[in-house]
Amino acid sequence: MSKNVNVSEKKLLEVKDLINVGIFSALYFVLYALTSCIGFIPVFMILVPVVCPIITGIPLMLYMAKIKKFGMLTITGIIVGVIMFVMGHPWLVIFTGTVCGFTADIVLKFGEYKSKKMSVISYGIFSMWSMGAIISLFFGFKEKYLESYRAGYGDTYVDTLYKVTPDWLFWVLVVGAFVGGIIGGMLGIAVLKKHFKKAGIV
Amino acid sequence: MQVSLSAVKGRTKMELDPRTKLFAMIVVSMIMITGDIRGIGFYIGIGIALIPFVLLLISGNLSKAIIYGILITFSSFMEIMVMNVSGIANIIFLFLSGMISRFLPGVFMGYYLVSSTTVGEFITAMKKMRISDKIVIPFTVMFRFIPTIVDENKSIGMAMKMRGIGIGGNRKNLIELVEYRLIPVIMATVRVGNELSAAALTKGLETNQKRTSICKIGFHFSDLIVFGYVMAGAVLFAFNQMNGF
Repeated sequence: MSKNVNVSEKKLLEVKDLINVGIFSALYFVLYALTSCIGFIPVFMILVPVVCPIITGIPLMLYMAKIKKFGMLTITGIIVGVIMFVMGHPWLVIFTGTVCGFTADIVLKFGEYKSKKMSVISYGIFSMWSMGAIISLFFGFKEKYLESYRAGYGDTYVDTLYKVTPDWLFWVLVVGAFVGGIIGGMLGIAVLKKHFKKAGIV
Repeated sequence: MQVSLSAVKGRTKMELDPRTKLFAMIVVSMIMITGDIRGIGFYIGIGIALIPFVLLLISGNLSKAIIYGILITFSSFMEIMVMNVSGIANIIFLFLSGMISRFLPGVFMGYYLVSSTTVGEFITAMKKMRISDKIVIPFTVMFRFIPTIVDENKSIGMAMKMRGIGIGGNRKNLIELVEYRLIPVIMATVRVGNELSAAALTKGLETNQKRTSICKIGFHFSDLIVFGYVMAGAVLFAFNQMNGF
């Protein structure tokens, strides 16, 4: 028993924590994938990074209430990034997933894993990983990506995409993802208060 | 429906190393999503789209293979037809066939990956790739968990329908709809998760010793064939992207 106490004092990740990471990553990913189906409506594709964090805020805030150690959000970020990559997004998504997860972890540690304000901000930062998945619509990647779509989706669709994705929009979306995260985080905290506290899950 | 990493071995005819499956999946989804459907690209696409079909067939998953085969044939025909149609019909056809041919192969490849790999094989393969436990355990839990979430969601959906909550029910408020569907699912999942951590403790997952496994993981002749085929597709694809033949 004394050995266990030592381990948790050292703040190392135990198997129990790793299982929690798995569960909440699964919840997060399934919800994210379901919500991002709005992207199938052509132009709504660019709205995915803003809308999804609002819904996924609910499981993520519960997750953050359970986090007491450093590194769990980083692992979630890596996992989400790797799965997005395997499903055919550019490799940059692994990078943004790792970086956003790590930064979110630092912010969370800053609030000593208790501060609600910090966990909302942390979630806002975490939500920005999705920019790595959508970056192929902007900057140098744009031409090649959209030209490969021209054959698949037709001229009208691609021309519309060209029109609605100027480069400055990327930075707007970065901010949008952050704001979406903040809204989702606050929603999550409200839900947490209303439902999970009573049930004794938190 | 068994979608998770299964605990027991099914009656598979051909054994593939999980690493080969992973590689094939990355290549298939990458080529299908960013691929070009005109000219040579179309034939490369067909060749790559065949991979999940053949693998599903060989692994004895006949019904899924047939569903996939029908859908992909349908979308390929649409893509050929598109050349002769113009106007609004063109957009609709392109979009439908684009959606199917771009995302379906990746989805079915993922299905094949998780349905034909046991938990033990998956962990052993990941360990052989020298991936840390801190990544392997969450990944394994995650794959094991997604079907649980789908299952819980189905039962909760039925229970809520009985109370008139749902599309077409008497409570039409969107926020309520999300709230009464989502929160029970999260609660149920967290509860199952707690049980899983307790089970992991009793199985001794927490000891810091090197894991041993009875799974024999290794590359065989069948791996070589699949790897060669996928690699050939990838090289052709890269060539086509660069000079456009």
